[in-house]
Formats: sequence, structure tokens, C-alpha cells
Amino acid sequence: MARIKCYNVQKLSADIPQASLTQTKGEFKRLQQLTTQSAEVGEKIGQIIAQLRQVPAPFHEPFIFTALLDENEKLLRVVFRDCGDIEFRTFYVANRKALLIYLEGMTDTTSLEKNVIEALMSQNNGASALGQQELPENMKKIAQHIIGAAAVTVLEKASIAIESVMTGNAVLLIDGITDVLSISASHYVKRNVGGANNEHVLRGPNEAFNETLHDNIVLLRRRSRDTNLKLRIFRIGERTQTSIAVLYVANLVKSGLVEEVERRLSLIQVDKILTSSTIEEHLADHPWTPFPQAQTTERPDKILAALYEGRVGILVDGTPASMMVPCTYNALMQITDDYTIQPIISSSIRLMRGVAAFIAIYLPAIYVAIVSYHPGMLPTSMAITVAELRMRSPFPSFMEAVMMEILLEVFQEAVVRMPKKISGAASMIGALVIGTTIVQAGIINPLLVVVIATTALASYSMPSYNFSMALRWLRIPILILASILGLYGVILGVLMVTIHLCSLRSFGESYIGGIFNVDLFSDWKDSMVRFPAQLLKERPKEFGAQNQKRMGDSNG
Amino acid sequence: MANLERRTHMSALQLGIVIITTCIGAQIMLAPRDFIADTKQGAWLSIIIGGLLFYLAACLMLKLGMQYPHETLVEYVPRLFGRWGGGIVIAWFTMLFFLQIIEIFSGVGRIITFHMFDRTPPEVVILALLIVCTYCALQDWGTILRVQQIMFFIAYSMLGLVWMTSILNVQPENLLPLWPDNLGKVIKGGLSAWPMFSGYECILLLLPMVYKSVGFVKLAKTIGGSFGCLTLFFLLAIIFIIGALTVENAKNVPYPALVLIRSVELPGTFIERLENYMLLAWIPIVFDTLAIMIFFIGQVCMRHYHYQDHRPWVLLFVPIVYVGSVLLLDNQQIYDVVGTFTLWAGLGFSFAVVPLLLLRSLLIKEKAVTGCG
Repeated sequence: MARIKCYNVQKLSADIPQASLTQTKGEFKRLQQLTTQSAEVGEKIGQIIAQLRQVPAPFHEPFIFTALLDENEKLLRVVFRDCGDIEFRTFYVANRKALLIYLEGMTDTTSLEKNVIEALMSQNNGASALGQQELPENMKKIAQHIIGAAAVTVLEKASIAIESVMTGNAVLLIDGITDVLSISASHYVKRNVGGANNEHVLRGPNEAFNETLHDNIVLLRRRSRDTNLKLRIFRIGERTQTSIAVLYVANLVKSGLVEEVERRLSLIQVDKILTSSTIEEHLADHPWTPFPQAQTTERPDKILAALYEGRVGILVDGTPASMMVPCTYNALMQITDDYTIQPIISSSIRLMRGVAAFIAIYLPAIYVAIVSYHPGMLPTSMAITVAELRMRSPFPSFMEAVMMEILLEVFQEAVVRMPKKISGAASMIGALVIGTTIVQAGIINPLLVVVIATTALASYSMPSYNFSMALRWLRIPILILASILGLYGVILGVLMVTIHLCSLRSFGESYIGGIFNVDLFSDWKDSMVRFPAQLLKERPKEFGAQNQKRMGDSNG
Repeated sequence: MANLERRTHMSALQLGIVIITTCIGAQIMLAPRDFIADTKQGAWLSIIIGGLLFYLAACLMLKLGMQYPHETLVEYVPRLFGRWGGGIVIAWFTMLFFLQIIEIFSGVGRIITFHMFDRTPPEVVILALLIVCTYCALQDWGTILRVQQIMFFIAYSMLGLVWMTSILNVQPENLLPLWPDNLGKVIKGGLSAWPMFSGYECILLLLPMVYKSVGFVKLAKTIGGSFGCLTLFFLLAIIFIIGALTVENAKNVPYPALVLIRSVELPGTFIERLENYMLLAWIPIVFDTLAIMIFFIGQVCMRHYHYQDHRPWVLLFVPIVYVGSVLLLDNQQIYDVVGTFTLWAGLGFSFAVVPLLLLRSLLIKEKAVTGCG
């Protein structure tokens, strides 16, 4: 058997030193470093290019459009990066590249196809609207001769073009043209105009605002053909760019009021506006008061009525809750139904509402004060009954009242927050617990249950939910005063609340002071009471309308 | 911020209401006993004489204010009487309000403690009311004016309603003899009715806000109406007290108005202890008098020392008012002395200082006219 000669096998690196593993690792590391460095350099170059591109762009502009469509597209793609719903549709028009950008889901693509893409691409067939193959050299002519959409705007600024896309419009760019064209084609899912959710009326119009500003404006315009009804739109919210409409009647609104509203709006520095309450808080003169300082409504008829009293309406895109300023106690306590029933009945109801507002704050406090300090004010038989009832409860009257208040608040919150199907069950449990069991258990005396239930009903009868919340909030401090100083404390509480309400001002108008102001007595015709319509010939003085007469003032 | 409210204007009617709310205060409870003791059966006539006398004083103030329609007393007095003389008049004016405030607080402390909280120290009662009055006095004039009007319509209606129930206990024969024997005492009684009518001096501070739009005659008529209301109000109070309690009983009980209302029984109703209802209506009336007087003190100091804001002065005066009121609580003799001093200081201001100021201003104007001629 032949013997195989075994060679002594050596490492490759012994013959070729460059092939050693250590050295190769080192080389790889250097290569990695180089790759990283080159990426960084590339990034820096990119940044420098971006900066160079930004140099001519004015302040607050991300870039400027150039005649090179590819460049514009690149820049726009950077702006809209990771926005999967932004569509970039490229096509050719008379041998020139065109780009249509729109937000999918917010744009009517059928309209775009018909009025823009088809119209432009027909230029490729030679049967152009201009009767020539050449495409016009500016967007204005294209808009005038080719595009079939109803509303088009030629834009120069990139920021406005971007905003236009985000509001549901389409933006058209064509190679060789520095302008862009914004084509109105917004079409999105929205709630239809329906009835008011929180302000039901028995015999009035039932249409209410929805979440779309334009629909809401239409609801107002449809009800009034008055050219003096003016509208200014602002964009507020650095990121959301929410549209806010300020409405007023030019020849009625108190001079300086619109300017003041606009000034306060212009001072709002926030990133987002999602509800009208954010605007309300920014407009408020007194941010720490529990009382609402703008009247909110979702009813267009209410806004119009306010506008024709010389007030200013504020609509916020994305919410049906609109606002009216100035806001006074009188304005908050009126509802549409007051004007659809007999004046004498509505006057009685309005007076009843005033009494209910008083009861909603003070009744538990009066109960605690009388029971604890002045039982002699009660008729003897009643005083004995109350004493007997109170004997069963181990708690002092103040504690009883506070416990009932807490229970009531918890119950109300539960009913409001729960799904409708379960809230019925919650009501049942609440009624059982608060109404029956708690009395049977001897924790609370039945008279207090009656008092608290009356108080709750009184607060529910308030036309404004925010106002009723303020009344609810005031109960506890007044209860504390009553528990310390009896009826003397209650009266001091009444005085404090009165002073506070008189000190509150909404755009210069006193919150409550107008009620008994002898200079404004003519306003009584439509404030605490309501006179028949034929006698309401003058507008309320308290809002300072330029023309006090309701009739024959439209010539201005 | 745009000023959308006219803060430095008020109508003549509003001034009339302010005079009523400033004048009717604690004295309807505190004053009748001494007043009836002095004037006896002729109290009703003294009230009418007092009303006329103090209306005359108010008209003199209107005339004086008309000479300087854009200025308050604090601004023009130093020009008329010099720096020191003017300073004394301003101090006198401020002292009048201050003394009335501490008297009223002290009286309120006693009454509330006596009738509502017999185990609560009056100092606590005074402190609680002082806090509320200070909160009001710290507001601007627009707010205070509104509070005054609300109180005027609500509290005065309540008080009137409760007070009218006392007619059930009035026996007309107690008022006899209707015509008093000693007319001198009755006339003197007219002057001693000043504590009831006091507060009209505020005209000297408020006129610039009214003279911008209203002339002297209309203002005099409106203020005449206010004094008419005041006189009627006090007249009804005094007649009911004497008619129900008799002069002899009225001068021997501490607070005849409350004693009278306590004795009223409304058969067939659930309302008992009417004095509690009366006090509930009276507290806001006392409050508006006190709050506005504290505000006036702050305003006088603000104008005199050329401050932009009256609030530091109000806060400065509050502890002094509290200490003064508490000091008067413990000693009836000091309380009476302060009362007498305030009465004469008030009468002196209305019937000596104001006419002198008016005379001086007319002389200066005449001199200026002659000089020009």
C-alpha cells in the first residue's frame, strides 16, 4: 500500500500575513467605521443641501416651490413622510410631468378624476381647450381654461399648500411651473344635521349644529338673509389649526366688542383646540370662578337671537357647542321655549327658575342652619317631628347633609358616565339607596332626603348645565357657613355670592348686576319676565347694541 | 384690554338709591330707644323735621359739588381752606364714616349675639360681617353700585314686608297725644335724628359721577325723593314702635323694633319667631351701609394721598375698624360717648363746615369774576 506523504499544513496567514484573522477583523472594523462615517457625511451633506434649499425660503416657510417638479415632489414627500393617507398621483400633461397630492378619505376622488385628471390628460390628445398642444405657462391660465372644479386657488407658499392638502383639498403641481393650484374637493365622513342632544325644545326648531363648521355656518345663513351678518374665520392651535368663526351683526354689535373678542383669540397660544371650552377658558375674564363666562348652545336659532341682540357668536370647527359673548345671568336663564308659550306662563316659569337657582344653592344650608341653630323658627309640631326624625340618625345635621351631597354627586356622575343601557339600572339602585335604604338604615333622616332631592331637582331645572354645575359646587361652602354661623352664615354666604356675581364681568357686562340696575329697567320686559312679542320693540340695553330698536334698523 | 363698561358714571336715580342704602342701616334697630326717650310722643314730628333739615344739608352739598362738578371734596377742599385746613376737613369727613362704622359693627355684634347666638362671642359675629364687607369694599364702584341696587330691591322689600306685620299690634291710642307739648324738644329731636339719616355725606364723593349728565334741579328733586322715602321709612318705624309698645315701654327695652316684631303672631300660618326673619332682612341692609362706608374711607385716602387704588387703604382700615368695634362692645359708657361725639361731629360737618366751604367757594369765584372784569 502506497504510503501517502503528509505535508505539514500551516495557516494561510503564515504564508500571507495579510490574511490573518485578527488583521481581517481590524480591516472589517475600519470598513465599518468608514461606512458609518460616509453615512454621517451623507446625512450632513443632505442637511447642508436642505439648509441651502431653505435659505431663500422666508421665515415660517418650510421651503419654496421651484420650477423643477422632481425637487418639489422630493420636498413634499419629506414633509408628508410617514403619512400613509397622503396620495401622490403622477401623470403627464402635454409631455410634462404633473403631480396631484391629496389626502385620501377627505377628498372627493371622483370629482378630481373628472374635473382635474381627465381635463388635464385630454391635453395629450391634441383636442385641448386652448386649441393648441402647448400647456399654458402659469397656473392661473390652467385654472381658467382647463380645470373644471368650482373653487380653485393659485398658491405660492408651501405652507399654505401643505395646509390646503391637510384640509381635504387637492394640490396640483406641474413641471416647469413654480405656482401650485389648490383645488377644492374636500369630502369627508361627518355627522348629519340632527336634533339637539342637550337642549330640547317643545315647540321650536329642532335642527342643531354638528361638528362641521361649514355646515353650522350654513344653518345660520339659511335662517337669515341679512348681509350685515358678518363672519371672520381664524385658525387657532399651532398643530390642529382649528377654524374658529366669529359672527356678529355689523350694524348692531357694541363697538369694540368684536375687536376685543379677536384680540383675545389672537392671544391664544396652544397646540390644539379640540373643544370650544378651551376657547371659552381663554376668553374668560375670571378664570377661577365656577360660573360659566360664555353661553354655550348647539342651536342655530339661539345663536342668531343672540347676534340680533348685539352679541358675538363663536363657532368652533369640530364641536357642535358654540358660544355667545357677553354672557350674563339673564342670558343663561332663558330658553327657546320661553318664546313659544304664552308670555304670562313663560314669565312665571322664568321667575320659578330664579327661585330654583336659589334653592339649588341654599336649601341644604338653610335646613342645616334651622335644624342646628334656629329650630324655634319652625312651627312647634314640625319642630317636634324633625327632632324625632333626627333622633334616629347618629350624625350631626351638617354631616348628614354632606354625606347626602356626596352620595348625590356620585350618583349623578354614575348616571352621566355610564352607557345608556346600564344607566337605567344605576338610577334604580340610586333611587333605592338614596331614597329608601339609607333612611331605613337610620343613617339619614327622611326630611333631609326630601331637602336634597328638591335641591337636585332645582339644579336640574337650570337651562345651562355649566351654570347648574356652578350652583352645585357652591352648596358645600354655604353648608359649612351654615354649620358654623347658622342663618347668619347663610345670609353672609348669600352676600358673598351676590358680590362675586356682581364683580364678574363678561366683556364689560356685569354677570348679574343688570337684573336690578335701575338704568336697565326696560330690559325687564325680556329678562326676569317676558312681555308679549308686540311689546318687545327694543333690544336689551345691557348688551349695548348700536341700535336699540328691533324694527326699522336694517338700513345701516 | 378694551374698556367696554362706563365705570365712572351713574344716574341721578342710582345716586338716590345709594343715599337710601347708605342712610338706612343699623340705626333702625339701634337708634329708636334713645330717640323715643328724648322726643316722646313728638317723635314722628322730629323725624319729619329731621328729614327736612338733612335734606337742606344735602342740598347745600349739592350746591357745593356743583361749583366743582369734576372733583370730589378731597380735591377741592385743600384749595378752599389751604393744605392744613383742607386736611382737617378731610380728616373730619373720614372720621365721621369711621365712627359710624365702628358703632354699627359694635351694635350689630350685640344684636346678633343677643337674638341669634347667645353663646357665640360678638367678636366672631363682627369678624364674619367685617370679612364680607371688606370683600365688597375691595371691589370697584361698578360692582358696589350693583350690589347696592340688588340689596335695595330685595332686602328692603323683605324688611318692609316683615315690618308691616307689626301693624297687627299697633294700638292708635298709644300714639296720643299726637301733638307734643314741648316743641323745643321736638326740634332738638329733629337734630338728634342725624344718626338715622347719616350717610348722605357721601354725596360729596359721588357727585362728579352724576354731574356729567344731570343738572342741579333734577338731582335736588331725586335726592328729595330719597329723603322722602327715608322720612317715611323712619316714620313708619317710630309710629309702629310707639303704637305697639308705648313710649314708656319703648325707652326701657334695648332694641324696641325687635321686641315689637317678636311680639307679633300670625295666626294660622307656619311662620314663628318673626324677629329672626327681620334680622335676616336687616343683615344685608347693615352690610350695604358698612361696605359702602368702608369703600368711601378707602376712596378718600386714595384721592388724598394720590394713590391709583383704594384697596390698600381699605385693607389698612379693616383691623382698625375691628379693634374699634370690639373696644366699644365692652363699655356702654364709651359707646354712648362715641355716639354723642359722632352726632355733634356730623351736625357740625353738615351745618358748619359745608356752608363755610360753599361760602368760601362762592367768594373765590366772585373774586375771580371781579378780577377778570
